[in-house]
Amino acid sequence: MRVLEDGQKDEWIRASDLRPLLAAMIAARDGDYRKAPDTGRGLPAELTAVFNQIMDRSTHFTDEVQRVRRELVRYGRLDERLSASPGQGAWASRVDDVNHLLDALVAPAANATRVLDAVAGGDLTQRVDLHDGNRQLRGDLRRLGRAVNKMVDQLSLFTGEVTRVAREVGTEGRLGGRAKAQGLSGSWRDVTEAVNTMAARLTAQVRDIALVTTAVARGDLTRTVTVEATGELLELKLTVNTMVDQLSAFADEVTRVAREVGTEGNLGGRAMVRGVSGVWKDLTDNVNFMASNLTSQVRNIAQVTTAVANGDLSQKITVDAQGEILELKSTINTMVDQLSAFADEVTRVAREVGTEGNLGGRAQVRGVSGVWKDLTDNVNFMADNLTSQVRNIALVSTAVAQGDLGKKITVEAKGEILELKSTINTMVDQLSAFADEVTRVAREVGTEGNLGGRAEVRGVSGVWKDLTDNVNFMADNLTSQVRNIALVTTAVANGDLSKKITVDARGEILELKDTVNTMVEQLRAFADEVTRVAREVGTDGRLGGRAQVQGVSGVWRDLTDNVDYMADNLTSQVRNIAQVATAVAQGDLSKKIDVDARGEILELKTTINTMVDTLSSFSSEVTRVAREVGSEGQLGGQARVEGVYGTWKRLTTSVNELASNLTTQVRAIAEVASAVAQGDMSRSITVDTRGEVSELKDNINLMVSNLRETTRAKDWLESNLARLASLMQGHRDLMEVADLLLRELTPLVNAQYGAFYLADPETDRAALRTTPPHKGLAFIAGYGAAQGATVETGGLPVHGLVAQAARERKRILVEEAPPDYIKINSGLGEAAPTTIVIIPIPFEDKLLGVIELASFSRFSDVHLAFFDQFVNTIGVAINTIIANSRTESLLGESQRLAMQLQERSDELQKQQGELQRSNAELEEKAALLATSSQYKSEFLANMSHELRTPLNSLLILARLLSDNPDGNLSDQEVQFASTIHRSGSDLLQLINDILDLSKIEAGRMDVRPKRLPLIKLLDYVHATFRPLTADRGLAFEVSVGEDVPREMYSDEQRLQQILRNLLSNAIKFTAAGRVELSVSRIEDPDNEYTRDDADEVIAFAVSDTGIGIAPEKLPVIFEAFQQADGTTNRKYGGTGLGLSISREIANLLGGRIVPESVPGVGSTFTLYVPVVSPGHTVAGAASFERGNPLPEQLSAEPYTGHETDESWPTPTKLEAWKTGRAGRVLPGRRVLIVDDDIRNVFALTHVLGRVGMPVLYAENGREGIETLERTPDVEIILMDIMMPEMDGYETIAVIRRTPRWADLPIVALTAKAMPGDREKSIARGANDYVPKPVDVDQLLTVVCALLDPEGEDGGEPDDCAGAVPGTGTPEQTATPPATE
Amino acid sequence: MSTETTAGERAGILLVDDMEDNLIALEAVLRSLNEPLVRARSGEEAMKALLRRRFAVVLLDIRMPGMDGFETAANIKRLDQTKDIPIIFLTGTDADEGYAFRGYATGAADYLTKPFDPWVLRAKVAVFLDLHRKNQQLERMLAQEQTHLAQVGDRLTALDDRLAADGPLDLTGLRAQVRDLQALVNTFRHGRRP
Repeated sequence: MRVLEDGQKDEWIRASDLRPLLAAMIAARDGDYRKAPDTGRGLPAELTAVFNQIMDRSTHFTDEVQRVRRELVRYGRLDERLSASPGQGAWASRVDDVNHLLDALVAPAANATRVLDAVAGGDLTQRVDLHDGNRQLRGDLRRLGRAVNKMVDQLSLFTGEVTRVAREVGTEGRLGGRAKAQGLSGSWRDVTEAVNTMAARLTAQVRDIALVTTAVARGDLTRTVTVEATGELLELKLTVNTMVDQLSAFADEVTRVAREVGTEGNLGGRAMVRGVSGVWKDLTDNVNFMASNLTSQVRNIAQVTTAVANGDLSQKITVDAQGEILELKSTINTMVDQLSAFADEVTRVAREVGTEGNLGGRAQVRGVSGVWKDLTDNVNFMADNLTSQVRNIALVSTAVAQGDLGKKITVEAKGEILELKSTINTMVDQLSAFADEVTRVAREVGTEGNLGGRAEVRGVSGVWKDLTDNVNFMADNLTSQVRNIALVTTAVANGDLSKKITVDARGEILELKDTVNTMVEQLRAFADEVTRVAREVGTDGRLGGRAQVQGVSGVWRDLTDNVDYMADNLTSQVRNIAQVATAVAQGDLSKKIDVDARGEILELKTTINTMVDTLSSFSSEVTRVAREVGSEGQLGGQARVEGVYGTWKRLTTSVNELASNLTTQVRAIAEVASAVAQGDMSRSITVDTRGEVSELKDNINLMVSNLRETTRAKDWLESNLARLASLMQGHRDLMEVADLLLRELTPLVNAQYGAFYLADPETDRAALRTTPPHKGLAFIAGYGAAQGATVETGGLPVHGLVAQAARERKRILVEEAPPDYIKINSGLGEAAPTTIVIIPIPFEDKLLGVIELASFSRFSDVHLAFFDQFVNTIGVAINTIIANSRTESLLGESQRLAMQLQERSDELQKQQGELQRSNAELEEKAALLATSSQYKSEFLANMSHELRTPLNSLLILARLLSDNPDGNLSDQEVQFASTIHRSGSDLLQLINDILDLSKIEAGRMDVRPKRLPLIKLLDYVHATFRPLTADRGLAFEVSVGEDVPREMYSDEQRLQQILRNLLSNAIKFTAAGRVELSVSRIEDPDNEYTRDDADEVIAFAVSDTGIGIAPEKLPVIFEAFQQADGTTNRKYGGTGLGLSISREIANLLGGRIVPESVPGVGSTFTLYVPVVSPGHTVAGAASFERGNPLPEQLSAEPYTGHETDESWPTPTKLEAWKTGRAGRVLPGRRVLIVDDDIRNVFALTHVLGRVGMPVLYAENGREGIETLERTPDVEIILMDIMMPEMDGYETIAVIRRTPRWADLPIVALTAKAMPGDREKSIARGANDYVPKPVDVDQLLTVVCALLDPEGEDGGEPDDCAGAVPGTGTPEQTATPPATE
Repeated sequence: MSTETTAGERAGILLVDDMEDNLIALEAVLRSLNEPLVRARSGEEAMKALLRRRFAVVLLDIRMPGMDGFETAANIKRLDQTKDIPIIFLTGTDADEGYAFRGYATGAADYLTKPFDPWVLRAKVAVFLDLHRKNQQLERMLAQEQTHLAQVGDRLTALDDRLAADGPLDLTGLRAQVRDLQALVNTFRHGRRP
């Protein structure tokens, strides 16, 4: 296609050039503002460009609109506007229009926004301007503006109303205000109504509360807040109500108390207000306090006044009081005092005047005034008046009493006293007249007997007249009665007992009448009775009769009694006489008539008694003689009876004759018998006798002659036995004794020939018993030259008669021996003996020998008897000799041996004595040494503790004081405290030094070397002395040489001590300059500086620039308590021991200290010590080189840290007790242990804690019970028995007495495992018993069983008892070991 | 811990010395700490006191007649309920180094030689008091936690019971319970008691 434009004819436009433009235009029409591509030339290009410009402007507009929309819609920016269009004309106006439109739309919104902003900010004054520029808004915009303005108005109104109400109610307190809801609508109205409701409610509540509080303030406590309220107001309401209630209660109480105390006077009342606190409580307390104070004061005052009212003036008011009460109190007390004084005086006067009658007394009350004084004066006046009146009246009445009716009362008186006076005077007059008349009548009637007289008293009246009439009547009455009585008594006197008094009578007269009548009756009865008795006794002879007069008394009774007495007397006399006579008739002479009698009866009695006496003396004499002679054998007695005659005398003589005859005969017999008894056999009885006595005499005489013969033979026998026995005594030689025996014995028995054979002493004794001796009998002595004849028999007679006698131990008597048996020869001739006797000599079972005797004559019986008795004597004597000789030889031997022993022992004793002596000396020395050394060590040990301990608290307290933490000490006091502290520290240092020194001297300073890095030592020095030197302004340097070993083997403490001392000294004595420690290594081949041959030596040189030491002082500074100058320590302090100690320690370490000094320049002290401490070289150095960190000395450390004794009991199977039944039963059950042994408590607590039982602990029984009371959940008690204060038994008993603990399980524990303990514990109430030391398994078993008694029977395999094998039931395990 | 201690009771300091003077000095030093000071004149008394109340620390003299400090300490250290109480040994003897070793071996927390600096002692004791307070706090917290845990556990058990119960499920009730539980856990989380 081709388009031909005007004017461009020759320009051809190809359609293809326009196509893209067209496409772009079509797109533009369809809303796609794409640009057309720039193609072609010429017109199409221009077209395209223009089109593209249009597109740009459209796009710009669209973009701007979109941007503004986005800004407006998305970001709310109302002030965003379209930017100006690149085009002009409609392009620009279109943009402006849009912008105007936007302006028109946005301006009201912004306006409203401003207003709303203001409203939001609380400014309600802003309004939307309804004019835009100069024209009014119309339409919707106007509505919008008006709506906003209306809203603001309503808000404003509402706010104003609410504010007003709030201000009125809240600030100004004007309740009742209401917000006006006019003009409001919708929610605003609702809100306003709500505010009004709130205000109304608040108003009502506040008004109600105000009402109540106003009422309360006005004292009306009856009101309560009743208005409905919620929330805090409810609380307020409740609070106010509570307050009102409490106030009400309080007021009631106070009112009650006030009423009781104040109005009703019931003192002691107390206000009881419950549930009050704070000031109300205080107030109540105050009221109570006031009430009680008042009460006590008033009571006290009341008490005192009551006492005063009751007349007790001894009481005073003692209660504490103040103010008016105090004044009242003192006033009352003063009053009481005055009253008391007054009362005392008045009482005294009254007592004197009234009681004691001491008239004239006056009350003297000092210090009273006013009414009391008047009162006193009045009393005195009254007393005076009374005194004079009473005295006068007394005078008159005394006179009246004394019968003097002439006196009258003359004293002046008034009133009643005056009446009394006149009355008394009238009385006296009338009495006088009356007395005269009565006297007259009495005289007539009484004295003169003129009955019938009458008293005539004139002018009397009243009682006196009555009296007179009565006297007259009395006189009449008396007259008639007396007359009647006289009549009767006259009749009685005349013996007529039939009359009686019949007159009327009363009173005493009646009694008299009755009496007289009774008397008459009694007299009559008496007379009858007496008559009866007299007849019975006197006529009928019936003794014993008694007069029985009933109802009599007085003389009648006496009379009756007398009659009875007489009858009794007579009766008893007659009976007594009869009795005595009967007794005499029966032979009893002891009785006598003892009854009282007189007259003839007395004579009879005397006669009978004399008779009885005579009879009695006679019979007693006869009896005495008979008894003496017959029974007691006292011969010669004679009966002497005086005053008997006749038959009695003849009887007596006969008796005496009989007695004397008997006496003579018996005495003769007795004489002979006593002579015989005394050995005199020559007497015989010669007295004349007859009859049986004669036979007796003959018999006695015969007996005496027989006795005489027998006695002679016996005498011979015994005397010879005794003589021979005595001869044998005192001999030791058997031969001699045998010879002597034969010489004596043979002639004695008329023998002429004798031999003595001795049993061989060598013979075995056993053989002697049964068989004759083997070696036989040895002839040892002979008589009558028998030696020759029998010398061969030595050892022979195992046969023959001698042997036979020996064997049988029997005497053999051969009589009529043949003539040729043996010959007894003498110088003149020879003959054969006729009799031979062989006598064996036995001793006990043994045969000692045989004696053979031969005689011409026969041996008499006496001789034979002599032999038999004598052999025993011989046996004893010979045996004694044999035994003696044997004993002697043994004794000699033993004496010899003893002598030898004695010599030996003497020698030994001598040696031993010397040994002992030297030993004792040694021991003594050793003991002395030990004692002194012990004293020293004890002293040191004590010093260490005893000296330092007190210093300890002193130092601490001084330090605390000097620190002055509270700041209440003055500077000076702080100074003092510091001084105390410093001095104490010095003292402590001194003590330490002394102890160190003593230790060193005693050799007890130990050196404990160990590996010691040098740097450690130097660090210590540095740390210690750097601050000190800095304080004093000194330079301090420590320098170490290069070749110094890095480690030493030495005692660190000791090295530190030395260096500390040296450096302290250096610093102490250096005022300015420097102090230096230089350490260097020194070769010491010559042992110049060290004690031993140490290889390596370290020198610690301490130099200073101090005052220095003079050369001559250098040697002494190491002595104890020395300083270079004696005055130095005043200036520098210190003990002077440091260097001594340092030197000694250096020695111990194997080194020494060398001082050098120049006075005024300075000093250098050098400590040389070996690198390896000496004495430890072998072990120490070896280990040191091997680098063994623990030398032997250290490994031998005594404390391992685990040396605690394992005395605590432990259960054998703790795990078993934590599981199973025990694990279920035990945990959580609270145990109370009561024990004073704290170790035991700890141990038990430990174990019980392990099984989960909480433990309470009490130290003794009392505390245990307190703990129980405090802790109710204790389930079991372990109770020790042995405790102080209150032992276990007592405690258990106390616990058991308390009902709520009656079933509480108690296990008794005791160390006394005595058999009775268990029983005793259980008897006191313990449930079981476990002995100490406690076996834990046993204890737990017991505890478990007690806490779970049922589980035991459960038969579970893991029950308590089963948990520990070997323990049985608690019963068994509780058995104390002592019984096992 | 001890046999009879109440939670509110303040743990004291036990001073053990046989010398009255030393006790006075110790009290003077420690009074300003404002903790109860309990005296014991012997090892036995100390043990008795330990059974009666809690102590934050024990100051124990070594040289005492009868039961000495080491034995007392050994007894204290052996009993479960007292073994955690720190012991400071005090001794007047500095000569025997074995004492210090033995003291520490017994389980002492510290070993002081008399005369000691009051401030040092006070500072040391204060450290132990602090430690004790912290311990107690921990114990309290532990106890609290355990209580909470128990409460949560109880609620969970209850919930479980309800879920396991037969019959229709009360969904609102369950929801309320779960909410309670949630609230409980939340309060515990913030460490407050419900």
